Amino acid sequence: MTLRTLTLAIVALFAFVLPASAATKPVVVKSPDGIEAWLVEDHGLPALAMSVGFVGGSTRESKGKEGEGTLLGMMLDEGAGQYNDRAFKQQLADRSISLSFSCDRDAFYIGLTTLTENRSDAFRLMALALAKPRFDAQSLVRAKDQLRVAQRQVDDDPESLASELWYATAFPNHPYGNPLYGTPQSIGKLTRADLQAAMKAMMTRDRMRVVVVGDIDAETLASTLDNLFASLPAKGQPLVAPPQMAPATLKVIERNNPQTAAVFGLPGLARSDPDFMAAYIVNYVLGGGSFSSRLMDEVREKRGLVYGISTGLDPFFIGGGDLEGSFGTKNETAGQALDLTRSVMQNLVAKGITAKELADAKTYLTGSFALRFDTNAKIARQLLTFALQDQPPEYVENRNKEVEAVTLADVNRAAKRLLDPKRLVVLMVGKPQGVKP
Amino acid sequence: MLHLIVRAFAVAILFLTTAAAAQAASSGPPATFKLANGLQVVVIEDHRAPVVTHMVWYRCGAADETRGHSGIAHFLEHLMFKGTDRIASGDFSKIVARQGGQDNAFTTHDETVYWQRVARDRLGLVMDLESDRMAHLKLTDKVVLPERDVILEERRMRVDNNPSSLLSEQMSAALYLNHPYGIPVIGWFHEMQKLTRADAEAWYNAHYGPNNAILIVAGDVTVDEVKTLAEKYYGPVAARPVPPRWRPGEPPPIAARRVTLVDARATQSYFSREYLTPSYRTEKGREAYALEVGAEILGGGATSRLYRALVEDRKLAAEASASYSGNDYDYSTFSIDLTPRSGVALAALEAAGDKVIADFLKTGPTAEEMKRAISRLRAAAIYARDSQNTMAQIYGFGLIDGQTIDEIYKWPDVIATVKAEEVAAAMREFLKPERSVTGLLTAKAEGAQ
Repeated sequence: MTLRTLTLAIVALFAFVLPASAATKPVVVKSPDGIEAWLVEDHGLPALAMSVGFVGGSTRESKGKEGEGTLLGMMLDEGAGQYNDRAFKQQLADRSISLSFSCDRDAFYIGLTTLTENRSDAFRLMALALAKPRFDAQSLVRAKDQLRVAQRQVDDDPESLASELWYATAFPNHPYGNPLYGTPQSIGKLTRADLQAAMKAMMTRDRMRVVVVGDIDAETLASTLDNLFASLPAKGQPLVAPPQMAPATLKVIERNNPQTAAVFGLPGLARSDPDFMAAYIVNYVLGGGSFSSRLMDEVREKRGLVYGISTGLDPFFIGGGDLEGSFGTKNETAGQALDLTRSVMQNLVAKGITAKELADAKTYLTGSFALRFDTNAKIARQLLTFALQDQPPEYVENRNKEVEAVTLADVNRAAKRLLDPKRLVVLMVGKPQGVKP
Repeated sequence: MLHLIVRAFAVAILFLTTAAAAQAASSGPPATFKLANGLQVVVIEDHRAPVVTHMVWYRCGAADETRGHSGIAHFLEHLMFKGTDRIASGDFSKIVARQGGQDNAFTTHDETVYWQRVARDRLGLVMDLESDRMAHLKLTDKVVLPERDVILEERRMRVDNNPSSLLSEQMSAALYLNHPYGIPVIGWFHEMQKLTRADAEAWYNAHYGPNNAILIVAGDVTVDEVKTLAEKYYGPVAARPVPPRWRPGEPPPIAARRVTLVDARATQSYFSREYLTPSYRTEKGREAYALEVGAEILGGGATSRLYRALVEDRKLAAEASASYSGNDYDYSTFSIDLTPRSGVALAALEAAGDKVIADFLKTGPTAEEMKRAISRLRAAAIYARDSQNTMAQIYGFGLIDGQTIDEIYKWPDVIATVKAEEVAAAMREFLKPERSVTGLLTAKAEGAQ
């Protein structure tokens, strides 16, 4: 061992201490009418980022109207008030304002970025889009055609297709399993009235969370919030119950590809579950930790079977959650890679996570937390996720303590709850060989 | 040909559409200095968060490979994580992760780049690790051979499983008659299969050294701190002889080329065209600046000419865009991408697209279009400053691809002075059929039933 190695080893022994200023606690700003927003003031750049989310997303879609949330997102910047589609987009482009709307399984989102010099125009245009969207016939035809193309692009991309079909397979009788871009049939039938109804159902203030980061002060923001959101309904319908995952299954969608794209998953834990943070660490050790994870080590590093393999523990905003993973391997080794994935899970439960793995996971998860807070746009999106999970603003200061508090007994208990390879729901796209349910 | 091939799955890498689009900070251009061993160092200060991005950019990429060994630049990038005398195979990333950091690497035709993002007080640690593997990489067949399987899986995932990637690969091969930009960064499958440890070692020995690299540190550090640490860790690494950077040039383009990929897996058809153009380094006047403005007007977003004509007015396309990035060492491309709506033939879409291009070449941009495009490009430069990672990439690509720090820093000011006549002239010079390859992707040949 050279002296430089020794130095390195010593450095690695110190517990990582998060710099106090890394993750800034937002202040809560309240408008005269009681609309709340989280604000992180930062005047380093003459710009701001706003992120808004409405819990529910595509789970608000009713049967036969799959893809409605995505279509709504595409239509909300297609003209509002006195501006037709072209005029509205020109208003935004001329001021370099980015205003976007999107929908996923957890929430409907609005994203706004603007330079300070165009801030009041940005707020004016966003308020107009929310209060008086036009949903003009010609825009609707175009958006539907675009969505049809997007459906085919998903169909042509093995990884996207495997992911979409995995949801349909895992949650067959629940809107959480809906295809985000809908089907040719469902999109074909959607009308202007459907979009108006979807907007009223998906974008209600009781489910809304607002985060602003950048060059604006609390007073200005407070006086803006009512104008922005007053047009939205105050209250909406209750959320659907969290989905239950289907029993173990292995489904293969045949495609003439050289590589099989695989998605696998298990029931997860709700964010409110006392074992959630322990399960989060289990996921890091299993497949969440990139090159530090067991799956990456066994399936890629030791055997060269995949380019990547990873897992994520995903708590749903409507409650419940799952653990999802994916890999791609040549068809000939699909069975081997899946068997290996199962045995890594089994082994993790049987022999447990080691004290060193737990310590390493903690130093990464606590130390890297600050890396999520280094740009205004990232801070806004990260804080919005916490807000949509019903965390308080102080969460950014307390989150690392929650990670530190997890014990070896906690993670091994959580591993037993989480990792039952006999429950795996697996979806493969390709011509996989040697796979067993 | 900016094709980024990254080492790890599921790590988003930022694509820079407006290549050199940024001014570092209102305080002035980034500081730069050179160590005695030839390592150039660039420091981009950003004190908003206690985080630093540390990147080493080597002046070697896939276009520097010898014939028959395609993919070796990218393969070596993977193998750089396989250990030294001090660090065991695979431990590099684990050590960074234990320090709460993230790391990865990527390869293009012109550069190979390694980066880490860590808390500010861990900068010395990542410099220690990175300078160690600059000089002391140790490879064995035991780690090299499984990694070759990994890059083959990477190729299957990125290219062979994906008809539109295959089309893009075929188009580049057709566009470049002689220059190695026609060979994919990841490599041709049959050549990748034969890459050996000896090939990797030869590549490493020829190209990796402080005198062939740029160190960029962005974030919550001062120039003096970086200077002290860089001297300590990179200072002792000896310079190596590096071959001069030379690639065969293209003959004058005289024939328009067409590439049609019929692939039954492609349920969505697609049209693409690339025109051969100069880069920021090889432009004679200000053509690269002019092409960047021209691309914004022709196909930059939902208010562009292509989008309005093909998506909104004629209802032929679902998507329509144009783009130009001058960040390449030798040549760049101006590209047009059109996705037809259901039931629209590619031939009809192509004819309509050609009409939009012809009209633009005939009349040139209007004063109003110029004003709007320049204002959007300048705003993009301000937005880019939000991310220290983006800033580090802008300076890295710019410097490797032949610009100076001053040129990169002044990009927003220069772009503001581009004239409509310059845009018209550059577009007329380079958007000629004989400079282009047209690519079509369909599930079955058009006209066939």
